[in-house]
Amino acid sequence: MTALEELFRVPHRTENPYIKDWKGNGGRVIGFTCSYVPEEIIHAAGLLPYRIEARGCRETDLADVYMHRFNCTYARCILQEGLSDRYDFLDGMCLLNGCEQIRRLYEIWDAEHKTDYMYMVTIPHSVYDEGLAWYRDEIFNFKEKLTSDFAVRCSKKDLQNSIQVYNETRRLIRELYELRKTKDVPISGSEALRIVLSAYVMPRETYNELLKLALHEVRSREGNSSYKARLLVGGSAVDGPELFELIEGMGGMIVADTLCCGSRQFDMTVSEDADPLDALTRAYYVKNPCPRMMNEYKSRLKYTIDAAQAASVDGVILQKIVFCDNHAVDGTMLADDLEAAGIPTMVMERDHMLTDTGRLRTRVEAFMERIAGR
Amino acid sequence: MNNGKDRTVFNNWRVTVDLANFVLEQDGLTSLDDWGGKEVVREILPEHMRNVFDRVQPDLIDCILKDRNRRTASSFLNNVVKFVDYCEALMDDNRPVCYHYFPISVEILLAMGIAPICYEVVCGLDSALYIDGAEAGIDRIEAEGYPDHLCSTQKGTAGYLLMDMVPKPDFLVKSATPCDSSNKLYEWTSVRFDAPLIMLETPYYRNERGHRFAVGEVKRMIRELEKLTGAQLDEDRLRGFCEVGNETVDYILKIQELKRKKPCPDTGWHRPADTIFMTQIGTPFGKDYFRTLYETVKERVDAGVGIIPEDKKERRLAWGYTWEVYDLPFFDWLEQEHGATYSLDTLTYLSPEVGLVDTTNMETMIEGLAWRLLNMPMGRQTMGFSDVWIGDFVRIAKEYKIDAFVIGGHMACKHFWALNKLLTDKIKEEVGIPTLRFEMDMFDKRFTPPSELKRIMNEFFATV
Amino acid sequence: MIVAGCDVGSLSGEAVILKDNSILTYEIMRVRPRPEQTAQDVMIKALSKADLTLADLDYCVSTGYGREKIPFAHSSISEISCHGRGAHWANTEVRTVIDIGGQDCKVIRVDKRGYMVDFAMNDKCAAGTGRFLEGMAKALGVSLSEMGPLSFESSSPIGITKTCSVLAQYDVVCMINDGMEVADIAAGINKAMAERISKMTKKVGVRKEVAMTGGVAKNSGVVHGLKKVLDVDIVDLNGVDPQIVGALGAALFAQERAERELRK
Repeated sequence: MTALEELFRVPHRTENPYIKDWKGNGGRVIGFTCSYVPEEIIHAAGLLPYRIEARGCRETDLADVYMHRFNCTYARCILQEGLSDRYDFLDGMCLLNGCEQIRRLYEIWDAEHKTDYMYMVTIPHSVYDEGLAWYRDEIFNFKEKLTSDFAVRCSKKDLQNSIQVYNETRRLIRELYELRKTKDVPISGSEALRIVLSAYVMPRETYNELLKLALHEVRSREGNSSYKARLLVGGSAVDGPELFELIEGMGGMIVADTLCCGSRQFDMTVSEDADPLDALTRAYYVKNPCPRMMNEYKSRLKYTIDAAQAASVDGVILQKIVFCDNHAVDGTMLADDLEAAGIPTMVMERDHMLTDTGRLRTRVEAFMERIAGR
Repeated sequence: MNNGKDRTVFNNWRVTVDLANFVLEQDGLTSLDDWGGKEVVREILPEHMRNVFDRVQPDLIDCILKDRNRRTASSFLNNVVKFVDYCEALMDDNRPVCYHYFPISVEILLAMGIAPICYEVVCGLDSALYIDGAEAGIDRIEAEGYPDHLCSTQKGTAGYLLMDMVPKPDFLVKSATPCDSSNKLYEWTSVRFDAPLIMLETPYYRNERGHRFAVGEVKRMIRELEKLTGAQLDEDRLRGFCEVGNETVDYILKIQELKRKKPCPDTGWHRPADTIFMTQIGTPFGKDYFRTLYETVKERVDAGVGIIPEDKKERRLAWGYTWEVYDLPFFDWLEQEHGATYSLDTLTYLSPEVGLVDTTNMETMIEGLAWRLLNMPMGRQTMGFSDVWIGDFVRIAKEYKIDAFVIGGHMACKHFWALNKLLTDKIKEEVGIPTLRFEMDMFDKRFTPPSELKRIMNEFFATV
Repeated sequence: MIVAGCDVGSLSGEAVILKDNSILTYEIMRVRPRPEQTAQDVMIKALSKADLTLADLDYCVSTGYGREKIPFAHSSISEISCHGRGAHWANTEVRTVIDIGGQDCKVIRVDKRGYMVDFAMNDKCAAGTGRFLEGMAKALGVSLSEMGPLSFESSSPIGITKTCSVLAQYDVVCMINDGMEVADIAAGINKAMAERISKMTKKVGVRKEVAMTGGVAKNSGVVHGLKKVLDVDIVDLNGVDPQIVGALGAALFAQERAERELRK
């Protein structure tokens, strides 16, 4: 199997060979739920950070006991996976008050004793100096608690090393995104997404090595220009390739995104010169913001327009999971402003589990017909 | 600075209150039917009231005409108008308009001569008064593509802003918890009307560190308001409003104490009204409303009577989350029909921990207001871990000798829907009382119409 | 040149045969278990009316839910584009098309050539769709076609729970049990439908003229309600059955594609 094929696999969490190896060697795994949790802290403490996802979740019967039909299916699917014992490999769980639904997983996860070690990091809802200071304290407290509870070290040097490792990933993924900006696209959006999602399921050093090799492979691939439209996808968290595959199955080519597990997480660099904790908190705090950050709409709009133009997209699909208020409002605002800027945009509602695919296909197809008609 | 031109909503409230005063002044009138029905009454009314009369909920008129409700209803409605007069006088004086979130105490805004309009009260009051509630506003914003799972309390007002029915904001103040829906609609308002949005972060923890942070947040809010208005916050003016606020808080806490009495001496329809005046803590109107309420409740306690008919057995309810606003007489019906009284709920329960603001100097006042921010209803329960919420209600259920727990779950409150099982399980485990849970939209009767509410309650009491 | 359009939806299937840009024949039928079966049956019925067979077709475009599964179609186009195109052919003044099908409601804006420039589609919820209306009619014990006329007999339409069609249906059953007037309930249902659809329409923007397509366009109560909430006239499709507009649009695209292939 080539490196590229390996990165396309994105193994399911219960059959993940990397985690089995890691645990087999006495390693411990810490889950985290949100892109505002600096993974470097966990990594520097010698633990394996694992971004919680619900890939492959098909039902929410167990989760529905705790969460209601008005809760977003992403939160419910994560809970379902937890309650189905599919996260039993976790040694700890770090949540964040990213949105009001995911944050409540804390209490339920705790009540069900799913993970012995639970922690909550909180971050203010807007970006300003005092907010940064609060967030820095939160990260510092997390580091202290983590190291004492797991009896591990996390020195300044460890942190500096982790920052370098993670910056390397970000640099490589940005390279991958660069390759998709050409007319003959060497890698589809769903393939690229698989590569990106793989970053969260294996030790980062291994990933970086695989990604370096994979990038060579991508470069030597023949490009594809027989697509109906170049697309950017934004909106709610996307943790599996199905949605992208559906869109590309209709003839679209996804060449850019503004997703929290995608470009937004890698489109930043943590300073390697400053105090590592300061550098980490600052970089994560001011990065391209999630819609839960207030007073940042204009920067989100600019980020989307810039990304759309840089990848020469023909249209933008803003998908949102039903009952996600953050993306519902932001997406509607963005759609109006993107259209005004001459970028065709479609807001598309979906569940986390890709049901109702006929309707989604019709929308995507009609959207591309709309673009073609211009 | 003031750009508030359209006051349609305010004017409607004013006429509505004129109308209420008019019917309350009619000797011996106890219901619309007494007068021969709605059509007959319409003819008797002064001309300018008729259009509004067509919109006002007839059951609400009947409800306020009842002896037990007259005094507090009159205080409720007339103080609303006094507050509107107060805001409009500021606007006429070219003072800025600030839309603020309901769990924010307004003493600072008042002291700075800013007209404080509570974003949620605009929609809430329309929902309570009129047959069609704030539906026009809700529909207007939904027609822009904003989905129905957003909270209607902001949607109604947002729609009114688009319809030019309420003054435009010069700026907004929002506290960050509990929900994404409210945050996002404040941000939408800020972008759409180019009005700066001051976000007040509520820390996750109500401890010393959290309080210290909140003090910093209140100071930052003051700094930003000073920048926006070009004026300085005056210590003496702030003290004046804080003192009024303290008296108001004192009344609220005393009323809460009196409600421990059996049978409950206070009616449930006051709770939505309480919320309106809790957004006005620091104003003479808020104080006057709660004083009237306190005196009314105290008289009942002194006379040893409750709010329910004497032959009814009392069923004491606590509303573990929200109530509905679009049918206030529903609570009167619950009391009269089922003897079901209303003690406390998440949106009006003011924990005694809130304390009073120490008015010694600027620093102590800011500290007190910051502590208030961490303890205002809903904010307190929702800003951090759920144990505060659950703890408050387990205690309430025990201390107020609650017979049943009611959860009228507002459909937009996602954070609540992710918590309700933990809450009701704990209530059951620790207090052993049943819970009734149903879905509704607090401000939009089209979700669970009044008739459906009654059917749910009838069924519940038939089974329990 | 003889071309065809075939629209297989969730409740019904339609076929339209075009000859030299005019409608030769068409057919509407209730869906069979599988979309390809529906397509086959409805197309053969339509063709046989003009003594034609599949072999006589120069080109066929399929649309609707089952569009990708039609063996005899040369290509497929989304029903959104097709409804826009079809309605515009029927009345060239049309710029906004409101299509209410079995499980979807769509608002389509077209340019002066009949090509779609923007659209909105209802989300997963069935409220505001033909299926919703059908369920309601069933609960009321009347036929779909009676819903419109019936609602005009009402002076005070009843408020219907918004958001969920399942809950709404439950409401209706309760209302009937409470002895409410069937006409008032029907009027309330039509009003609720119209209000829901009007929000989507406003989102896309109402450009005159406005036309309605799909089966629900035959419900005069909903049409009337929409006219009222949107404050516009709903123009007439010059005798074209609103239910075949999707298939008609597909046939028009078929004609265009056949001509293009001919030129090649």
